[in-house]
Amino acid sequence: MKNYSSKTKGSYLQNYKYHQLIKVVFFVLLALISIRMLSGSIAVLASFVTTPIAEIRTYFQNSGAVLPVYVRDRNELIKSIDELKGELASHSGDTATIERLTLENNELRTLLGDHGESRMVAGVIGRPPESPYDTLYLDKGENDGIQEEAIVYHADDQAIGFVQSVFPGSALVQLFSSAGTEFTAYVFGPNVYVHGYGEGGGVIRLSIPQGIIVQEGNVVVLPSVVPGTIGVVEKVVSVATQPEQHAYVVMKTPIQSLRYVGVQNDVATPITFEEAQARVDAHKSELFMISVPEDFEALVSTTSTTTNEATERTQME
Amino acid sequence: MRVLLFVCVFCVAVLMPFPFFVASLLVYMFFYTGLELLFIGVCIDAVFGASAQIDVQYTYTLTIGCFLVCTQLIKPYLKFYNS
Repeated sequence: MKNYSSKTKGSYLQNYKYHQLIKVVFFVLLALISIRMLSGSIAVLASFVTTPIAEIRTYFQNSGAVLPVYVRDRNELIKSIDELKGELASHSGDTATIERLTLENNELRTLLGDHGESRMVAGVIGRPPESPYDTLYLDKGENDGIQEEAIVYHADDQAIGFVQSVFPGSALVQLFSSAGTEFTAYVFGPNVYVHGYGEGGGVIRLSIPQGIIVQEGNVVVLPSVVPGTIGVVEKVVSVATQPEQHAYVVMKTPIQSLRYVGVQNDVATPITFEEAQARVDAHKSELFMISVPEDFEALVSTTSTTTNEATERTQME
Repeated sequence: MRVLLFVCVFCVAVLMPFPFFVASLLVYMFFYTGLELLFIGVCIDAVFGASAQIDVQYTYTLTIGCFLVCTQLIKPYLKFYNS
C-alpha cells in the first residue's frame, strides 16, 4: 500500500512538473516570437502604459504642486523642523524656490541653443539606471513633432544621443554612452579620428592606437554633428603590450541629473569625411573664441584705433 | 491582491534598476505561477529594447522565462506547495 501510494505521488509530481514546464516554455517562446514579429505595434501599445508610469514618477520627483512637494520633502521637512523654526524654514523655502526657478530658466534658455538651429525642449521622465536598457525616456513624442534620428542635446553643445523610437506621447533616446553604440569621434590634442563605443552608465570608451599621446582633459567631439561636443577624456588606460589604448570619456553633467534636454528639429544625415573635417576645423576655432562683453569690445577697438593713429603719426614724422 | 502585485512588478520594471525587478519577480513567483509576467517582459523589451544590442535585446522576457522554468522545476519539491 505504501509502495503504491509513493508511486502515485511520484507520477503525479512528474506529470504536474512536465505539464507546467511545457506550458511555460510554450508561452516564453510565444512571447519572444511576438516581440520579434510585432515589435513596433507592441511598443506603441505598451508606450501608452509605460509613459504614464514614468510621467507620474517624474511628477512626484520634480513638480512644485502641493502633493508631490509634500511627499518629496516630508522626510527632509521633519529633519528641518527639528533644526529650524517655522519662519526661518519658510524663508529658506522661498529662497530655494527662486533659486530653483532661476536655474531652471537658465537651463531652458541654454537648451534652446544659440547656434541658429531650431530645437525643442523635452522633459526627461526616465533615465539610467532606472530606465531599462540604459536609455532616456522623454515626455514628448510624435504629437509634439519629435522625429526619429534627431540629435538630443544637453546644455548648449553637448550631444548626448539620438531619438531611437518615437511614440505618440513619448520618445526613447539612445545615448552615445549606451552599451553597443558605435560612432566616429575626434579627439582634440592628438587630433585624431577614433572609434567610440558606448559602455553604459554614461561612459564612452575610445580605442586609440598605441603611440598616440592622449591626455586627460582632451576634448572629444562628434564630427558628424554640429555642435557635437561629447565630453572630455577622464581616464586613459594604456598597456604597452596591447595594440590599442583606451580613453574613457564622461559627460560634463551626469546623466542621472538630467531633467530637460534639447531635441533638434532636423534629422541627422550622414556626411562625408571632408564635411566632417570642415566641422572639426570650425569647432577647433570655436574652442579659442571668447564672447567679449560689449563694453570691453569698445575698449579694444578704441585701443586699436589709438594705436593705429599713433603708428601713422610716427610714420609721417 | 494578485492584480495589485502585478501592477507593482510592472512599475518596478519601468521605474527601477534591473536588480530590483528581479527581486520583485521572485516575490511574485513565490505566490503565483506568473505566466502573466511575460506580458511585462514583452512590453519592456518592445519599448526599450529596440535600441539595445541584439544579444541583450530580450533580457526582460528571457529573465522572466528562465525564472518561470526554474520555479516550475523547484515548486513541486517544496513542502510549502505540497502541504
